Amino acid sequence: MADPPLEEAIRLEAVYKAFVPRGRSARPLLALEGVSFAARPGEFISLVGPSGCGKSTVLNLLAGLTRPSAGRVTHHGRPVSGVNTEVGYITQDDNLLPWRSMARNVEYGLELRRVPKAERRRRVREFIDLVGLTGFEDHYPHELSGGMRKRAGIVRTLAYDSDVVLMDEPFGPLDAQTRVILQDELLKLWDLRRPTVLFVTHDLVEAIALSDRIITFTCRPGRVKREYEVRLPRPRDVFHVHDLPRFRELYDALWDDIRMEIAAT
Amino acid sequence: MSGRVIEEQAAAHARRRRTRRALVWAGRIGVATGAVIAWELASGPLVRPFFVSSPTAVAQRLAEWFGSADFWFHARFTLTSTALGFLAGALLGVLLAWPLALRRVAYRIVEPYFLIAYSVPAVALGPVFILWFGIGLAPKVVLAAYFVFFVVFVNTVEGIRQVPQGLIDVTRVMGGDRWATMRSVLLPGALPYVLAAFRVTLPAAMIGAVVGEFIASNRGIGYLTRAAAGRYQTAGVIAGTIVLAAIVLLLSLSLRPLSRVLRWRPEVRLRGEDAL
Repeated sequence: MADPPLEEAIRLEAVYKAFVPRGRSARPLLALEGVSFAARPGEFISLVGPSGCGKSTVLNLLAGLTRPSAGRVTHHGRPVSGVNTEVGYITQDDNLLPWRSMARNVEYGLELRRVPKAERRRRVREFIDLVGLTGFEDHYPHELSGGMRKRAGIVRTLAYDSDVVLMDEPFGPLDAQTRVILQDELLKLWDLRRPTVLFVTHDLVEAIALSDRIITFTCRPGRVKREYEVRLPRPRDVFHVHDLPRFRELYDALWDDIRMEIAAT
Repeated sequence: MSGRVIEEQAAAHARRRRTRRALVWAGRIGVATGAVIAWELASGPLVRPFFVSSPTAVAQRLAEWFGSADFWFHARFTLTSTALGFLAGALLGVLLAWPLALRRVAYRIVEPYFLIAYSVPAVALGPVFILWFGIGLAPKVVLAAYFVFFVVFVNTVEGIRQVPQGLIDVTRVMGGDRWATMRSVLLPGALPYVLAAFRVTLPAAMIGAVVGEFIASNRGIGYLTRAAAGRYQTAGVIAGTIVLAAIVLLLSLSLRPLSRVLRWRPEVRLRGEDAL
């Protein structure tokens, strides 16, 4: 087999995933059906589609938390087997350790990766400062607002600088204003190192504002429905993207796509 | 203006805390005083002292005990068997929970046997323990440990299992191995459950130790109490139970510093106008 082209960060090839849900009526469920796509290094891709269409499963496969039932999942051309510690994973829940202060949470990934203490402290301070959390270092997660917890969770992952970052509806539970502000902050953070991002969201506006490419999924079993190149210039102004004609055009196309799928569920 | 509002709020908060503390202590002392006075008044005119003794008689007995070296020997014996039994049971419970909590098959194999062992009335096993371990310290320690072990074990397993999967996944993806996951996630996550189990099993340990002394012993506060009961000395029986309660209180206080590791937990309270 030929070597995969170098400019490919991740790839899914005809991936199927079936699992048996918990409970009595344990009939296997097909979550993904022949999903294929690839991401170039530094590309920001959003996955959109109706709830339960297997988008999160795609992320879990790339993180190695679950295995494909059939097909191949590769990261830099190597099949993912076992937990993939080379990706960063920002989950829907912030998953901060409730018994650690905010700064110790941000430090957590670096600590697990055995980054020397001095270096750790320096990076933690830098990233906390980047998202404006300075002054809240010693607060426990439950003492922070939802937006602050989200910021802490994001920089915890970005601080250790992995080249692929998976994000599962990270801004889901936030209010509309905080959401836009965090989108803006995320783009700025992303721009520092430009990792490959796979971003799962329900929010079409968010998908367009952030991504280079948008992949829509069908309802269960999840299949890739269409791909859209966003082709909006960067750096982007997330507060005003809505005004661009290209935005309207994409939004309408995406909405048509998604609406049909939602109607089908 | 803002400074004043903040200061006033802080002062009001501190005041409320002080009032609440004072109220709690006044309430505690009030309950105890009320009970003792009612008891003293009732003993004699309402109930024969033979059945209920009286606070003065109990106090007299306690004073006699405190003055005798004999009593302190007995107290030390019960304190030792309770403490050793508690430590052994707690340690075993925590240590055994780890390999079993995350191995579902293994756990399901042993689960019914643990349940059976736990439902056997330990008191009934007492004589067997005496047969096996003699009438010295050992059977008391074993009985005390028996009362502690299962509760600590079950709670630790439960504590480990309720740790959110997300925290474990995130740790693994960030590069944490088994050991790191255990130390940084499972252990602190299970800790509130473990400590709660410690708190409830400490008195149970003493019950175990005293049951052992009741069955066969020539020392310990349980033995003293039983001896008093045998001679129909109600005051001695009540004095004995008071000493036992004091031992539990003493041991519980020694556990207090442990709960400092749970500082991170938010305080839950009922809010509203009538909340204290």
